[in-house]
Amino acid sequence: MSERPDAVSPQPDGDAELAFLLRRAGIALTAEQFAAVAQEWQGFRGHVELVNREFTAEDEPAIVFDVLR
Amino acid sequence: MSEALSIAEAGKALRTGATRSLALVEAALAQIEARDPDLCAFVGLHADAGRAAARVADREIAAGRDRGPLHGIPYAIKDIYDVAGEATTCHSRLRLDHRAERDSAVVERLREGGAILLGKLATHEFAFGGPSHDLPFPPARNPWNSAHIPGGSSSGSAAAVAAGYVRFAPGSCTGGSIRGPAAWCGVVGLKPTYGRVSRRGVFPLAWSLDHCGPLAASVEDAALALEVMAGHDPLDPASADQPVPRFSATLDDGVAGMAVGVPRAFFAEHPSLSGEAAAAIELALEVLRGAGATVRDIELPDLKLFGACGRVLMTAELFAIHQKDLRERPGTYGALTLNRFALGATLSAADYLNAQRLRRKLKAAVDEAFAAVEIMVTAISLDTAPAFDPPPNPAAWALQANAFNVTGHPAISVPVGLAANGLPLAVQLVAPAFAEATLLRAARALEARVGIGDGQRPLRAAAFSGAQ
Repeated sequence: MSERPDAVSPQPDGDAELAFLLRRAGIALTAEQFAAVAQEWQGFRGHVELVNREFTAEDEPAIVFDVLR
Repeated sequence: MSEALSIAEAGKALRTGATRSLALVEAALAQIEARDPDLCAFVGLHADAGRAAARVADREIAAGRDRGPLHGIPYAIKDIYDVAGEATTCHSRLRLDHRAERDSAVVERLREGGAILLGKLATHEFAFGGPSHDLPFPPARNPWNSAHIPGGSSSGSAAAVAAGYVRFAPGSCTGGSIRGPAAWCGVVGLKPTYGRVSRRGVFPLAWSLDHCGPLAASVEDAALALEVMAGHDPLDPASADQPVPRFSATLDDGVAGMAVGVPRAFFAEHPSLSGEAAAAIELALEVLRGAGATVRDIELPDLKLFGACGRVLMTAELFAIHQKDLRERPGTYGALTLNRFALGATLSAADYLNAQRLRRKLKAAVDEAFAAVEIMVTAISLDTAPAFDPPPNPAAWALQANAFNVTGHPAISVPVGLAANGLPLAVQLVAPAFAEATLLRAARALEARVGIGDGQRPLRAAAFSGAQ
């Protein structure tokens, strides 16, 4: 597949992004609830960035499919 | 019963006839009646059922039937554990109509062991959202100063033990919810190895992080409680099939020659570390050296990685559990709970899996550190418990605990003394997986020399004069 020269990386727009994610999850909040979640999300995003590190394909998650053992 | 009687001492008194289980229960109920209107540790008191169980215990003990170290001993339990026929409210409006069909595994074991259940204890909503005043029950308060929070989410468990109602109270720990409140309430809080105690019948917060364990008035009390609570449960998919030693049997073996590691980077430069909390850690290390241990600094990965890993794992797992209710009735949750639970919608599958990949690396790093040391000593409370007013922000709590929920290693909070404001301080000890016997032995060596006093508060307090 060739790269599209006119492709634009989406710019993060905090509130719009959060609204989209909540809508996708089927969660409807009041304006006040949304504002509180948005504030909480500010700190939480840092945690998500930290876990999305450089991994190799050999780095397996700490989940074992053990139901057949 | 004097609140100074340990479980072992009460057990002896029961077997010689010096006291009766019913007397222990009535003494506990009197304490609860006197203090709990202020402390709010209980959300459901089962006084009549407790008395009935105590009468049975007294008959059994008199007839020579001995169910073990907890026979006839009163306890209370965090209201996320099922008790047959009772509501497991999880301190939430969503669960007020719930009724448990059967006992949780821990309650089954404690019932079989003859322990006497007095009732259900306060928690944060679903073991996460709190302390909060918009829930069906008020938050528990710190018995050392009821204007201060006890910590959580095993808030009622810590308060009930610290107030002297009971000698032990099972709690749960997903990111520090046993050790945190134990530290702030001046009691012992033991998070065993992941899988050591069955989670069956405990409402989950995050399956891969949830640990069940006791809060207790002393290390010995915690050891005896764990002996009964622990054990393989084939109905809990995470239950470890490991033998359960008599943890109390080796408590006084001492720490001579024990290698102790200190991951100093976890806490030494932390901006929230108070002078008194720092002095408490150094005192604990000095005590262990004096008892014959060798102490050295060790390196572990950045604590922020453990914190981030734990938060992402927890948020993804709790979101899966609560997704339906978050869609259908978000406003029924407390505001603090909703703020934190809704964040699960922002996570992708790759976020969760990458957190699990990081988790494997972090666990390996801690295991590697344990190749050179037998115990780690680190911070748990960077400062004393905050006040209810202004409302404390859980994200900013001065506690360090979730690293060992991420890795699953056993960890214990041991009181070390009181700060100048009269509130407890503690340290955290950590051991290799399934080495609770070593962990408890080291904790006992520490407790024997410093602390707040076995069942007697605030005697034998070591007040710190470190500058803030």
